[in-house]
Amino acid sequence: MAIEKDDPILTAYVLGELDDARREAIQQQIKASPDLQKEVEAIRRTAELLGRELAAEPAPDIPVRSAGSRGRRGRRAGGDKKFAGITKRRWPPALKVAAVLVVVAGASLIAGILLPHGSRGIAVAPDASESAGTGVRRHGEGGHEGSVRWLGGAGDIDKGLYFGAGELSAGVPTKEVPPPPHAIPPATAASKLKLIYDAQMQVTLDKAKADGFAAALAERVRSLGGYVSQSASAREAGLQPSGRISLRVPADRLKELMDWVAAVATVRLSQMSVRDITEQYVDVEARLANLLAGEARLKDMLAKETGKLEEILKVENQIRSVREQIERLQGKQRLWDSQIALSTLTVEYRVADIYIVAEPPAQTFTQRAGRAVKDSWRAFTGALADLGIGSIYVLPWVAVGLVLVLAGYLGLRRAAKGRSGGK
Amino acid sequence: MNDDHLRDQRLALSAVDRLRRPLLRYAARLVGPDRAEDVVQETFLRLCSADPPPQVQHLAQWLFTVCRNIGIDIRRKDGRMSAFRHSHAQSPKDPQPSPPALAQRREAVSAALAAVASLPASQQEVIRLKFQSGFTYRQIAGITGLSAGNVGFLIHAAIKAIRQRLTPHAPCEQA
Repeated sequence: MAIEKDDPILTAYVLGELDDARREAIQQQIKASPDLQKEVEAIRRTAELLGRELAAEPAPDIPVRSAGSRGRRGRRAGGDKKFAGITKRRWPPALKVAAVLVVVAGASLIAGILLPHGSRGIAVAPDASESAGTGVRRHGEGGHEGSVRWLGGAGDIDKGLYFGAGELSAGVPTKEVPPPPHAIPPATAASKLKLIYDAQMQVTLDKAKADGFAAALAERVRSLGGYVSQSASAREAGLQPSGRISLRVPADRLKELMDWVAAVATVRLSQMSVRDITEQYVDVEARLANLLAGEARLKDMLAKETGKLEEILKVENQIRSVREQIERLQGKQRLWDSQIALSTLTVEYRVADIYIVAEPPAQTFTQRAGRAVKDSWRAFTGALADLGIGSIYVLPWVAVGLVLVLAGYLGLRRAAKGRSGGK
Repeated sequence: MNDDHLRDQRLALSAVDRLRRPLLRYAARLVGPDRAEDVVQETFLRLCSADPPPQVQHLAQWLFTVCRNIGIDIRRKDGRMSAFRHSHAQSPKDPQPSPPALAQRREAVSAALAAVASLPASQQEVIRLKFQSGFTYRQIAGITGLSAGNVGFLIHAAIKAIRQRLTPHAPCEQA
């Protein structure tokens, strides 16, 4: 591949940073281009100037310290590591562990005080449109039982109560998570970094927005010059609808797309990874240049070859082998170019869960009294039943015990009669 | 084995003598002139206690890497996350140099050095490591934690910026 004037490889060449093979390949290109020769000469002059000037640069004034000086901060304390001016205190391991425990305990205590607790009840309506009715469910930490009204449809959601206290569980975040300000360097003519961007976002949506989200996202990415590479959605009973879309978008429009997603959905996770393949790319470029030059020489050789068929076949084999390597490297380069030009964004989305507080029904005095009588009668009859069962349980023991006591009594009586008859 | 150990010791000592001033200069740019001595002292202390010790041929890179890490730790502790410092020709707490020394200093700060001082911190650092301390791209990558490709790009960008800045000062380039 032809080298441009602004390629960092020219600077590396001037500073002697290239291996022999690459230097040779670059040298060939420089020899063939007067522009490159001028550029190399200019870089060399600047490098020599910098070498001279920086070598002669006066060193910063560093204050001279005497051998006995203790510096500004230090008093030697037991267990401290000190060098002049800076004291590093070493804490015993036990103290470090204790400090960590105190911090953790304190944070837990503060969280326990500040965060609301003792939920009155939770009604889970994962798919409100599926069913409507009433049921009983145990909720929360208080163990309070009460009736739960399942949602019948979208209108009921509006009337429902949202459990907004703290983070009840996954699904209803209390505040939006803004995506991190990923800075994507603008692609300029001067930028020779080869960077591959991969981003992932996990978002939640309102049920109303979920149906059209995938289509809107696909339309958006198309308008930015990209496309949808993969799409999947799931709708399982008892779970909120969810989906996953993989998108390819031009690298300089990636942030724009991520900002658009953040504007229409609630972001729970946003991350981006960057792979810098500049070194590998430059390496492949140099190897390609070398191989192409080698192929050209072999072809020349073949064109001029007038000797034995065996020699011609050898050269042709060599050309074939070099061509295979060239195509492999070019394939790799094309893949990299594609990955560099089009970044990948994977968006996992799901509909947010909605939690309803179950209000126990209000009761009158008569209802409460009647309920108390019923509960009391139930407890009484229950106690009687338990007593009866207990009696049945001890019956065999009592029977055996009675027999033993009777036998003992009769035996004693007979013994007493015998003694009195003998007198 | 004993002879090898003694020879390594002598090589290490000579390397320490050779590298002390460049390390001081580098540390001064990291943490300021008043702390540079501390940082370099700590660097050599760590060399003494390193187990296993660095190989002699990698000693310079090892020392600069440790020096950099110590400097960054100190800056972080002080809450000063400022960039790689610009030229400290004179610390404000130092006594005023004599007029001849001051004049001499002024002459020495050429347009090229001013151009270097105007570079972003990351480019300044790699330029100095390359042209003042004589490290290769790979060694600079090891010291700074960047990839060799990144180092090459930074040096290329720095040289380009310096050339553009010096263009009005054609005589400097022709020197």
